[in-house]
Amino acid sequence: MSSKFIKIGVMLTTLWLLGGCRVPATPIDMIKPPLSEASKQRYDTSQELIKLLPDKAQLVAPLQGQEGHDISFGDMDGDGIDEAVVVYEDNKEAGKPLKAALFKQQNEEWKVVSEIQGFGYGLEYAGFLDLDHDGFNELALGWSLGEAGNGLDVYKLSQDKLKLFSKKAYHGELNLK
Amino acid sequence: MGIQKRLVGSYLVVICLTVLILEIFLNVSVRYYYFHNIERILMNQAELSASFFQQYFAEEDLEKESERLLKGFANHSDAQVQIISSSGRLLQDSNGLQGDKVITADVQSAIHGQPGTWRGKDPVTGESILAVAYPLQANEVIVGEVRFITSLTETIHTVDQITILLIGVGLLVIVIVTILGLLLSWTITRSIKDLKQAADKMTEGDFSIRVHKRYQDELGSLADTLNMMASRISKSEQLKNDFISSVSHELRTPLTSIKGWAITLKANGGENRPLLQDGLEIIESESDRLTHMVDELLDFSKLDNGRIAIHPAPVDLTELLQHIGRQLAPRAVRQGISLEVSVKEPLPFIQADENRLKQIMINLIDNSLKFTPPSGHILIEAHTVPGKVVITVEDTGSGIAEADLENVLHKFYKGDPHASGSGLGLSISDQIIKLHHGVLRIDSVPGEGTRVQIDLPV
Repeated sequence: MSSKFIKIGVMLTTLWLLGGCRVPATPIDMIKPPLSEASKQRYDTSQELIKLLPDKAQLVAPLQGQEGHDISFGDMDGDGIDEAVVVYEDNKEAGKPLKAALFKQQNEEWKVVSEIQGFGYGLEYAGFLDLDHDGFNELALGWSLGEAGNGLDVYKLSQDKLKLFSKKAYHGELNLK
Repeated sequence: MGIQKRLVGSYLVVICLTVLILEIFLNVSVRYYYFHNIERILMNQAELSASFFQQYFAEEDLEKESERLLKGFANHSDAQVQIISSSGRLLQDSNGLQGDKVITADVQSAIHGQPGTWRGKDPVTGESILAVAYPLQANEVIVGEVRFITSLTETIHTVDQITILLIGVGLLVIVIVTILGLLLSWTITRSIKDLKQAADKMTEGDFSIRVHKRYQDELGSLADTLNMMASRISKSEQLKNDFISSVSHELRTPLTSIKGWAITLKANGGENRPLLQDGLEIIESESDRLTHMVDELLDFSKLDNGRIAIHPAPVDLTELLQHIGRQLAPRAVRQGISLEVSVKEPLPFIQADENRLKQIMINLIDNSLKFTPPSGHILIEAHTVPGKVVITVEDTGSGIAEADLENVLHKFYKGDPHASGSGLGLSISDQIIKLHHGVLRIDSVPGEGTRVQIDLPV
């Protein structure tokens, strides 16, 4: 009888080993500041947006600008309503590739309109700027490969799809002018 | 091979196989998990670096910018990172190695545009290493490659440790199961050994031995059965001995009486006419008793061998019962007992052996007369129920003790071992009723009386 228990134990251990050990979050990961009133709305929005992302996606905050917030807001299509961009690590795929998702608000509801592939180890910058002075904001994403340098991708929104506008390397401080 | 060996052996074979299969499976899994994941992580890092290079630094000169690029490539990796030119020359190395030509399989593969991996020994230190090389492309041209190298010493050590742990656990399981198997089989063989010893003793003729019952299992009930068998054998042995002594006694009593009278009559029977008459009468009745006894013995031996046969013919039960009543009435009167035959309804004719039925009825009434004190009452009654005729013999005698009740139908059994009779009468009656496909039942309350009921099918 007890040999049966041992067998079951060994099997469960095997499954556990094969399934990859999912250790719960450590206490240090749990420390974060309480919500302020302004950040509360942001937090609610981010929760709403996270729900639209794939499971177990990890938001990535840009190192520069946006005061370390995960989400950047800006109007790209000139309709007066802000779009939002979120950069995240997709945990499902091997190597946790970076991805950026653009959200649009329609009737108080957020929807993913476009997704693009990111590069490098992290996000250096994310923001909405009118770089070519055509009256519409472009989405600027700065990807980082540490000391090797950074890469800036500029996207335009056309027919609800992000189109790559320009791509260049930069080193050190980003100068968008 | 003994049961213990077989049990433990089969247990051991099964568990060894199970553990072996599990061990192989687990060890292969662990090995794969570690080595495959390390390779995959390195490949991802290399791919990430290469794609960043391709996207943003394609315009730059790889050789000139290699130092800066290396810092970026190595940013997120603990592995040794190398940048190698398209000709296979080492441009930069995070460990500070200088410009050798690298010719391992992974580098060769990457030069031709395919990411490559290589596992082997470091040519200098002899350490086990895993290397992954990924081509660096600029405008569709391979300008060099990035190479990630990790030591496998710690991985091999960890995997070995897990292997040792798993084997240890496996051995522990085998040991535990072996001990359990031994214990389990011991509980079985112990009982069997007890049974065998007892059975051996019984074979030698010692039926006083009793098996100790250890568990409430099949072997336990076997022990019970064996004990019961032994006690029955000793009891029937006892009965047989009692029977022989009582039969000898029973045979001897009339013989003594006959011989006594023969001697008396021989000495002075010629002159004394009444004495001669009495003597002859007694000799006759004692001879009858002897005959009756010997008949019973013969019947019994026939019954025992299954050689007794009944000769069914239509029997008028009313007539039969009345006849028996009349026949035994004088003896009842002599004993001061009232004997009543009560047949209130016409009974159907039944197919039965009349002589045998008569024998049974006489036997039953004789028993009642024997155990009923003077001024007692014996009632013989018969009636019909659907499908059968029920005859009862009821007395106000001494009754039968409850302990004896279930045994009175057994051969040789006598409530009182010293009472007269062979102890066969009821047993024979029961057998004969069974031959008639009927049932004989006895109910009795000690001190109040006994009721014998015979059901005969019509």
